[in-house]
Amino acid sequence: MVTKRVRVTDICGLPTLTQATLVGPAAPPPHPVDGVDLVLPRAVLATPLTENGVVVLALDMGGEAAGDHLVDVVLRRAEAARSALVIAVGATDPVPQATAELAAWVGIPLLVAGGEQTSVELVIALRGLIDDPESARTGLLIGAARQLPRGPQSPEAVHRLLESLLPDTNVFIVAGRDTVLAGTPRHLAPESVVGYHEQTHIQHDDVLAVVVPLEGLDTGPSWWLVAERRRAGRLWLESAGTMLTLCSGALLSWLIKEQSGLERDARMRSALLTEIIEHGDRLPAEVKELIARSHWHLDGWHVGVHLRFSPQEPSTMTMRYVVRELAALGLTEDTLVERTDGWAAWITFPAEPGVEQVRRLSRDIERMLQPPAGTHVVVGIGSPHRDAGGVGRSLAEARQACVVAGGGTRRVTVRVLQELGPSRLLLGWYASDALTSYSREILGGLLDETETEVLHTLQAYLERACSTAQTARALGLHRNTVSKRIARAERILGTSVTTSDTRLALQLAIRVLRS
Amino acid sequence: MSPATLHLRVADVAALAHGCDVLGSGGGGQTVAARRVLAHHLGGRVVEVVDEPEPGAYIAALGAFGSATVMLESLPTPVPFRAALRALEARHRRVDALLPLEVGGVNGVLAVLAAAHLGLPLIDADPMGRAFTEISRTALAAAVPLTSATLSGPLGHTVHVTAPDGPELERVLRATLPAIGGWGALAAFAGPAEEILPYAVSGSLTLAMRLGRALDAAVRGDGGARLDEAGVRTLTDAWVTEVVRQPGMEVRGVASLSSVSARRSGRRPGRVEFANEYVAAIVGGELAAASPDVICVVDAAWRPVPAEELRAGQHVRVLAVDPPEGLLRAHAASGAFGLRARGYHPVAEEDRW
Repeated sequence: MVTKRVRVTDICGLPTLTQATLVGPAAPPPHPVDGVDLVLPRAVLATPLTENGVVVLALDMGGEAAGDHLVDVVLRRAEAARSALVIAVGATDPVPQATAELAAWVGIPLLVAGGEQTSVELVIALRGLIDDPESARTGLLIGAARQLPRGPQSPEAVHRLLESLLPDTNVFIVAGRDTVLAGTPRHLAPESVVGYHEQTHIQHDDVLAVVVPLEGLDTGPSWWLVAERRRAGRLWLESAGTMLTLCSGALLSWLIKEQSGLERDARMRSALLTEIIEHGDRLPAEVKELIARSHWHLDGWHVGVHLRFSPQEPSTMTMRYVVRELAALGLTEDTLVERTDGWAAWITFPAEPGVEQVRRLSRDIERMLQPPAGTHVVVGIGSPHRDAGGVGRSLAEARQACVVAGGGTRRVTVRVLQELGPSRLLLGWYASDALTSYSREILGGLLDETETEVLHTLQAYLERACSTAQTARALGLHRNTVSKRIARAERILGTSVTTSDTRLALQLAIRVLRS
Repeated sequence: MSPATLHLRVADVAALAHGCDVLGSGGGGQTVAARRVLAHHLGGRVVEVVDEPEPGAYIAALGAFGSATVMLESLPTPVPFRAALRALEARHRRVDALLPLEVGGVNGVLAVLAAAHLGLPLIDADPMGRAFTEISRTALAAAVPLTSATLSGPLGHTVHVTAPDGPELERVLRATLPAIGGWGALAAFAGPAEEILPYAVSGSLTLAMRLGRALDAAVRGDGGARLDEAGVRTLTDAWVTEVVRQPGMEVRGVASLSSVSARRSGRRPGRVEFANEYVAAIVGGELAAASPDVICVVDAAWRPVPAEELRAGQHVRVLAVDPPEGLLRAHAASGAFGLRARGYHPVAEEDRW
C-alpha cells in the first residue's frame, strides 16, 4: 500500500492550528512534509533541520526572555535547509512586518501559534501524523463512524452532526441556488456548488470545499451537502468527503420517507380540492370532516393564489422550500395543491379584505417567494370570495390572472385579477381553442425547438414596446444579438414587425400559446 | 602624566558630539543641547585628554545622572558638576583628573564641559566604552565596587549615598532624583588612578572623536573610506516600515526595515530590537550585530536617530561598531553585557562574542 504523504496544507489545516496566524507566501505551497524539528530558543543555530521538515520554534519553552527575533533567524535557517514550514509557538502575534516580509521572501510559510497546544504536544501530534497519516485519518473516521446516526435524519440533524464531526468546518445543505436547507454558506455561494453529479472539491482562494450530491433519486441529484473550510489540506478534504458521504445515506432515507408522505398528502389535498370546486357550499359531511382534519378553513373570505413555474414545475418536496417564507401570510406547504397547470392555494381572511390588503399580499408574495434556481414563476391572485363556494371562484380567477400575466422574464411575476383592467378582455380569448389553433398557424416555424431563443426574444421585444435596448438589458444580451434574432423571426414569419397590427397579432398569438 | 592624547577645542565639539551620539547606541540622551552649552563654555579654552594621569593621581568619574529629557528642558550648567566633585573631595581627597562617567550620549559631552570648568585633565577612558542603562552594570562596576557616590542637583542640593553594593546604591540614587530636580551631576568611582583605570574601558574619547569625524566626512559626502577606517560597518540601508513599541517605562520594541530597492539590490528585510538602546540588528534572518556591539541608526543626513524617535517612513542606515577592547574583555569574563542581560534570548550561546 502506498502511504500518502502529509502536506504543508494538511498541517496548516489541523484543528489545533486553525487559530494560528499564517504569514509568508500568499498561499501555503502543497509541499509534502518529511519530518518535524523541535528548535529550542537556546539552540536556534545548533539544531539540525530536516529537508522538507516542519520547524517548530518553541518560544513557549524559553522562560521570560524575549525571543521573537529568533523567528527571523529560524526562517533564514529554514530557507537554507529547504524546510517546508516554520511554526513559532508562543511568538507575539502579529509578527513585525519584517518577519512577515522575510517569510514571504524566503518562500516559507510561517504559522504563529498561541498557547492552545505546547510545542512538545504539537511536535508529538505532528510526528504521529507525518509518520502514519493513514492511521491518523482512520482513527478520525472510526471516531466519527461511532457517532453516525441510525435511520433517517433531517437536513438540520445531519448539519448539526457534520459540524460536530468536522471541527472548524462550515457545513451547509442546499437544494438550489437560493434554497439553503440547513446551515449558512460562508465562503462559497450556493449557486457555485449546485449541479454537480459526483463528489467534487472546489478551491477558491484559501477556501477548500467538498461537495457531495445526494444520490439515489430517480431525478438525479437535487440536494448537495457542502463542507467548506479555510486553509485546509488534502487530509481534511478526504475526511470531510467521507463524512459527508456517510451522512448522505441518513439524509437520503429521510428524503425518501418524507417524499412518500408528502405525495400521499398531496394526493389527498388534490382530491379534496376537486370536491370543493365541484360541490361548493353543498359539500358532503364526510368530505367536510376530511377537510377539517387537513386544517383547511372554508369559512370566511378566500383569496385564491395560482403559481405557474417555467420551464418545469418543482416537486412537492421542493415546494416546501419555495414557499417557506410565506408561512407568515398563511400560505404553507399544507395548503398547496398541485394542479395540471401549476400549484394552487388560498389564503383565508375573517372579513372581506380590501383592495389595498390584496395589493399588499401580492407585494409580500413577490418578495418572499423563492423559486428554484433557473426557474421563473408567475403568480396569479384572484378576488376575495366567501366560504366554500368562494374557494373555487377565487382560484379560477387566480388562474386567469396567471394566464394574462404571460410568460414573464422576471424570476417572480405577480398579477392581481382586480388590477388587470382592460387586460381582462383577453381572458376569454386565451381560453379559446380556435384561437390556439390559429396562433400555431401564425407562429409556424418559430415554434420549432431550434427557434426557442428567437421566440423568447421576440416575446420580450414585443412586451417592451419593441425597444432593442430594453430587451437586451432584460435578457442579458447585446443589442446586436436582439436585432439579429428579431430579423431572423421576421424571416421565418415572412412578415415585418414594424406594423402595429402585426405586432398585436404576434403578441396575442404568443400569449395564447404560452397560456 | 602621559602626554596629552587630545586637545579638545571648540572646533572639536561637533565631531565629539556626533561620536558620542554614535556610542549612545540609540540611548544615552541627546547631545543637541549639551553641545551648544559646551561650545559656549569652552570659548578659547582647551581641555587636555590624557591616556593616564600622573603616578599617584587621585581620580573620580563625573557625569550626569537621571533624565536626559529633563536636562533638555533645564539646560545643564557646570555648577552641579563642581558641587558634586567638591562634596566628594571633602570626603576623600582632592581629585587630580576626571574620568568621564559615560562616553555614550550626552555624558560624553558633559564630561568635557565639567573638565573645562574645573580646569582638570580628562582621562581617555570611561566605565563602559559606550552608553549603558545602569551604572552598576558597567565593565568598571564589575571590578570596582560602587558603594558610594555624590549627587548634586541643578537646584543646589547635594546628597552623598553609601550602600552595600552598586544596584542598591543606584536604587537609592534614582529614588533621590525627583527631589533634586530630575537629574544631577554624579561623582563616583573615586580612588587612586592605578586602582581604577585598569578596569575602565580605555580610548573612549579618542573613539568618539574618530567616529564623529568619520560621520562628519560622510555628511560631506566622502564617508565610505573614513567609516571603514573608523571600524564602522553599514548593516543595511533601509526604510523603516513599522515600529512596534511595548507599553511601559522602558523604550522597548522592534523596528521593521525594508531595504531600499530591496529586490533589485538582493538585500533582505531586517529588524532592529531596542530596549532603551539598540540591542540587536537582524538582517535577512542573520544576526548582524548584538549588544555589546554599538548599534547606531542614522538618518539620510547621517544624524543619529535615538530609539525613542524611530518612526515608520524614515530612510535610515543601520551602523555597527565593535565594542572597545576593554568592554569585550569584561563581557568575555562575565557575559554580563550581551542580549541575555537585556532580557533577550541570545541567538547563539555566545552571540558573536
